[in-house]
Amino acid sequence: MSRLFLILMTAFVSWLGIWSARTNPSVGTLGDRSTTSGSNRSSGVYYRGGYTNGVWVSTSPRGTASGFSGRGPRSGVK
Amino acid sequence: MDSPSGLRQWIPWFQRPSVNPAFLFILLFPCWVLVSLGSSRGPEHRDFDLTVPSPNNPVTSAPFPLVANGKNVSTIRIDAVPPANTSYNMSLELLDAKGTLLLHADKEGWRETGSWYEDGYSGTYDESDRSFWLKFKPRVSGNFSVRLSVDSLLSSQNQPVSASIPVSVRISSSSSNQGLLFLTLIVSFSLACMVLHLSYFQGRRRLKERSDDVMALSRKTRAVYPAGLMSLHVSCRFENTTSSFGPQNRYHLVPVHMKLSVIDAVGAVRNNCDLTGYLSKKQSEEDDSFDLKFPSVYYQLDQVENLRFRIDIPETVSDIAELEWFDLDLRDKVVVPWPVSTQKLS
Repeated sequence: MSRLFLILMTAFVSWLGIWSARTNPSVGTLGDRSTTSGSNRSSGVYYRGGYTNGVWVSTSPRGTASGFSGRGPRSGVK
Repeated sequence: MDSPSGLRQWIPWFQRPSVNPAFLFILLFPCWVLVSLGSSRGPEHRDFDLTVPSPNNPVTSAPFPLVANGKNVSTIRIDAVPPANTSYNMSLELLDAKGTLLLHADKEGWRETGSWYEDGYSGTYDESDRSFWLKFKPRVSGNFSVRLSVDSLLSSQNQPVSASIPVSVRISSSSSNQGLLFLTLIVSFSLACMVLHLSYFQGRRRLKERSDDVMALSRKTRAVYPAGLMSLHVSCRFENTTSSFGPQNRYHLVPVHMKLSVIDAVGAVRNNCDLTGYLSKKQSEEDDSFDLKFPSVYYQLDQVENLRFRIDIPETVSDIAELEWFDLDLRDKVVVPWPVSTQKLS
């Protein structure tokens, strides 16, 4: 039973890895909403707008940059 | 009559259930991944060095081609070099050949330099958050360009600064994720090895015991064994009783002969087998002993048999080593992927 499970796992993992590596399903196509939802938000990128019927519609800026407040080297660390 | 040779001598083996190469086919899966990895191409890069001349004054890159085939992933990576002790907001616009806006993203960045002092130590630091990347698949093939602009370039006192910002732009295009393929290869190969380990050379353990009394252990092997392949593996440890094998002389090899006899229910010896192993000195300085492993012995049983395996091994070897313990691993119903050399019972 455990051997059958391992055989199926080997086949599934191999197929899934090759399929994912070749098709990159997590990356969106320009014009799709998924392009901006799968972004690298953790690095602080904000999309200024979104797609409406496949066309990019920009929105106004978020406002002025917040400067150094709350960022940069913290006292006590350096 | 000539004995069969070549493939013909293997064919009777494959008719036995103890030889089953079928599970070797599991290795086709990691091979499949390996072929995919080998046939994949690495990402193609195109680099631009741009300079944003001043805030609210955009700069546009030269056109670069991107191929849309539903699989190609394009990555735009931006590395800016802002002046020290400033923060800014960088805006990136992706344009097609007609100048149509396809994507618009903002990224706030900063860079701070200075000195630190702590517990009598000091140094300088230069920290920043000035890189970002965007990943997407082009919808149509063609030439694209990137327009970069900076606004809100401020000093650490939040005063406007007018300065140029050099920016490195790297456009990468890849058709497959090689990192993911490599990870898949490792996982797939590991799983395949687990399948092979479960399938081959394990069989059913009938006796696995360590003892210093060889004869007592031999008597415990008396049992009824089913038809099929059996494996017997012996390893032992000898204690060093002489100074001849000190640290300066640790690699000397001394042969040890072991005799294996298979005795059936009526006491008849059905098979005799002589094995030779070599004492090998352990590397450890503290552990003054020799390890000895004999090669595995396989027995092919054509029918159910009541057998005992008598093992004769010397208690001492040339007055230099004395048997400390003896480890016996006896298995039946062993399956092997290819024919192995076996001992036949008369």
